[in-house]
Amino acid sequence: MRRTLPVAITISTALFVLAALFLQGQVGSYLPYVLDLAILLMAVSALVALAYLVTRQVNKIRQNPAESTPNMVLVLAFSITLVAGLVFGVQNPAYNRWVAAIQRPLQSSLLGLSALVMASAALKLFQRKGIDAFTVSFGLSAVFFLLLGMNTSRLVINPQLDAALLTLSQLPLVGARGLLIGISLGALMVALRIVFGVERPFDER
Amino acid sequence: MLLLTTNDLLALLIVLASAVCLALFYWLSGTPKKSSIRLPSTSEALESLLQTSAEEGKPVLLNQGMGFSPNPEITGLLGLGLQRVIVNRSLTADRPNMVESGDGLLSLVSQQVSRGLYHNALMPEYFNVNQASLQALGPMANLAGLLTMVPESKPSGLLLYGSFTPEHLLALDQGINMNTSVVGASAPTTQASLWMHADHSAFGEDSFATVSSAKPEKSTLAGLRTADVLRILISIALLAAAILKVMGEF
Repeated sequence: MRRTLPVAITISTALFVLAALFLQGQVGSYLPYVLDLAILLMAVSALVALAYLVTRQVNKIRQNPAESTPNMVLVLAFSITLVAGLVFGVQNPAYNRWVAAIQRPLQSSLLGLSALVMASAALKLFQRKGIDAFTVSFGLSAVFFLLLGMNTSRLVINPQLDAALLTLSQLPLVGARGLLIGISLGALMVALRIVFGVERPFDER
Repeated sequence: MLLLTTNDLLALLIVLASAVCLALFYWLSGTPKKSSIRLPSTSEALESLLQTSAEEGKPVLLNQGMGFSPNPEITGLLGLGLQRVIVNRSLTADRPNMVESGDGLLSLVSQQVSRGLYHNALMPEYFNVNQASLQALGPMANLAGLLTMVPESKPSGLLLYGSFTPEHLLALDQGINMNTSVVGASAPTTQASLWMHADHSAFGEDSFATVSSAKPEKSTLAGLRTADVLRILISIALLAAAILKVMGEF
């Protein structure tokens, strides 16, 4: 019973959502209730996980107070944000401005840093992975499509060559679609195994 | 009254064909051998990483990404299969492998999986909730947490498996002195940026195949065989569509 009930709930929910998507006229009106329930469960689970996170940080501070400055900052910032959010409400413009004023510069600096690291990674690519067909074609195609993206084709006055370049510029899209088909195929297989009850991501076995 | 568009019908057809193929492979064929399945290179890298980690006595750090938020998608579950494999391999280790995630629901499911593995191995007292916990909420917060976690835990290898953003290459850059970093991400842009820094990357359906081949059960290997059949069918359909398009039929 302990193992059968979660599987039964999973299969019936999956089948209901599928039916609601394809038979919108008949059962589609009930879909929002199921989705609302899922959102509610996700929100509660996020709260529980946050409680775990804060408890872990507090435990770290208690065990080693001398080396726990970042943990203290985290717990303090979390507490202030939580209390302010509860008092003023998350829709309060001043509260939102205050949160954004801290969050945005931090996120922007991380993005800037990642841009630098990405540039250096591109330069170190051949050193790390060696020179083979894959890395060489990656490097050449990156340069080629970068130039195409900079709209260099407008310098070409031959209309046939221009048409060829336009066709070539679609290649990254084709590659991305190929990858997405592969990902969707894998996701479809996992989803079907869950619906059939042979795969249980939530199960411990 | 059914209100199905052509796309809906095609989607339904693909789902039904996949379900029939999967059912046939699962029930009619015996347990397939792992050697008979095409394995991605990341499978071998993962095995090698787990062996090195056991020899060095250092843990492997698995980050499962954003899971179900902001968009609930099945690819968010990628890391859970891998978690079973790596936690199972370090149940009795002094420093067990660690699993982190950037989503509340995923971290709770992940804790349940780890707790269950210890329970099934008859050693529930060894389970520590910190081995499968929430790193932070949100992609940037998850990345920031990972950036402190890598030098702090000194892992033998880093596994990024699930939904990530391209900025997570910062974590790979920080762990550049580790043995191996294996990446399996769902978004193509993320795959491209992380591939530059990772020792081993799984692209497209290989992300799923790595997890499946690491846990060679009848259902997962039947899924791989079905995916192979579907890949052939989709290729034929795409070729036929291209030929028809060139002939001016569409």
